[in-house]
Parts: sequence; structure tokens; C-alpha cells
Amino acid sequence: MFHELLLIGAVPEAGHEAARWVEGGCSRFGLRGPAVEQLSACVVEAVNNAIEHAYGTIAGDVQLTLSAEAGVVTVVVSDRGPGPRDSEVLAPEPDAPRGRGRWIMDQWCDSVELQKGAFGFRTILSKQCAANAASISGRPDSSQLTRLF
Amino acid sequence: MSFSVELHDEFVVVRLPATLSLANAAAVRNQLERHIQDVSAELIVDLSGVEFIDSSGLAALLSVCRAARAWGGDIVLAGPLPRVQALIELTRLDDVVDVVADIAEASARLSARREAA
Repeated sequence: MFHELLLIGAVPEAGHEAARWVEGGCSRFGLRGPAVEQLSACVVEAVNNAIEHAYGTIAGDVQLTLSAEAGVVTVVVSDRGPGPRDSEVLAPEPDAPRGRGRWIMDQWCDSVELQKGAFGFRTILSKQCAANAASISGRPDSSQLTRLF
Repeated sequence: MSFSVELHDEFVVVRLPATLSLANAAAVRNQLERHIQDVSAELIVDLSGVEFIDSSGLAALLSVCRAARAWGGDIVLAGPLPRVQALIELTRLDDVVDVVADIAEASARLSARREAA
């Protein structure tokens, strides 16, 4: 399994940086295209939620891990916040001022799992980004840690 | 935050930056709404250079559209790249804001709206 870690400051620019990191990580292992772009868009929304809801104006970090196995990419977005009170996902009205982030995640990921605990809050996003494991060329159990902001 | 602004036919075209995200959505929204208030409520928003957008960016565009309509005008979003178009369609923003292929079509859309008014 290929595995990467990113620790990023909870600043408004973090979402875009996280997207680039996800797409870069996938690209290094031969994964690119619309499925990867959709996954990275979902990661952005999860990171934005962490910035806005876990920390607000308080400084904090968001940790991301990216793993790929058999064509399925999984990204875990972790923060120190309590997580949302309501996990129900409703389709937002087209003219709603907010509420699109979780909807985007649910529509474009194969799986969205939310975990709350003493550690804080995690959003686990998974998506099939390649037809099979042959398209992933990473070394088994390789890992890399990046720190941004 | 600065934008490229030009005239196409008689309509103002604002070219947005490559990224429209949580980091700059509020600033972009404020500037466009100020433009609507001070210059023209009919606006073509050129998305052809926007490579990255998130839900904050979409919400900013929706807010700008509302502001334009409140001032008796409208906006048309022109030329989104496939990646941006996909997010617009997923969230059905195109149900409430006109989205067209290019600036010429956007200009035609605003002209038709003006004639119909």
C-alpha cells in the first residue's frame, strides 16, 4: 500500500493546497483524470469544513493521510474539533447560500465515513480512481510526510 | 484582489483569477458586488481562466447573481473549464444562474434579456 501524510495549518488556503497534494500524490502513482479530480474536490470540502467548523478563528492543524490500494484511493482528513452535530445529508437547493460541501462529498466519493472521538473528528473519503491495482506503481508500504503552513 | 475588466459589445466582462476558493471567495464576492452597485448590474463573469473552484466559490457566484438581480440586472457565467462545469452541474448552480460556453454567447444572452425587459 502507498501511504502519504500531510500536516497543514488550518488557514483558508489549506483546501487548495490539499487538493494539489492529493492530485500530486495520485499522479506519482499513475492515477489522474476526472475521478482523481472529483476526489480532490471532496477533500477540499472536508478541509474547508475543518477550517470553518473545528477551528474558526483559532489556530490549528488539519492532518491528511492518503493511501492507495487496488485502484481505490482513501483520504482521511482529521481535525481536533467535535465534528458536525447532524450527519444527515440533504441535497441543497440550487440557490441555498451554504450546505454544498457535504453533498459534494457524498455524490462524488464511493464512501464517506465520519468518525468522532477523543482524538477529534475524521472524514474518511474513498474513491475508485483506477480500474485495477496494476495501474498503481508505488512501492509497498512506502510513506512520506509533508508539512505545509 | 484585482480583476481583468474589459468591454464586450456593451457589457462588462470580468475575468476571474485561476483559483476561486475559501481563501478569496469573500473578497471576489465583495468586489463584484461593489462593481454591480457602482458600475453596471449586467455582468459577464469569465470563468475560462478558473482552474480551481470549491463550494465557497460557487456560493460567492450565487451571491453576486442575487446582487445583480436586486439591482435590476443579471450575470452570465461564461466558459467554465470542464472541471468547474462539473461542479456547477453537480450542485445545480446552472438552474439559477445562466452558464454559457463563451463571452459572445453571454453577451447575446444579456442582450436578449435587455430586449425582453
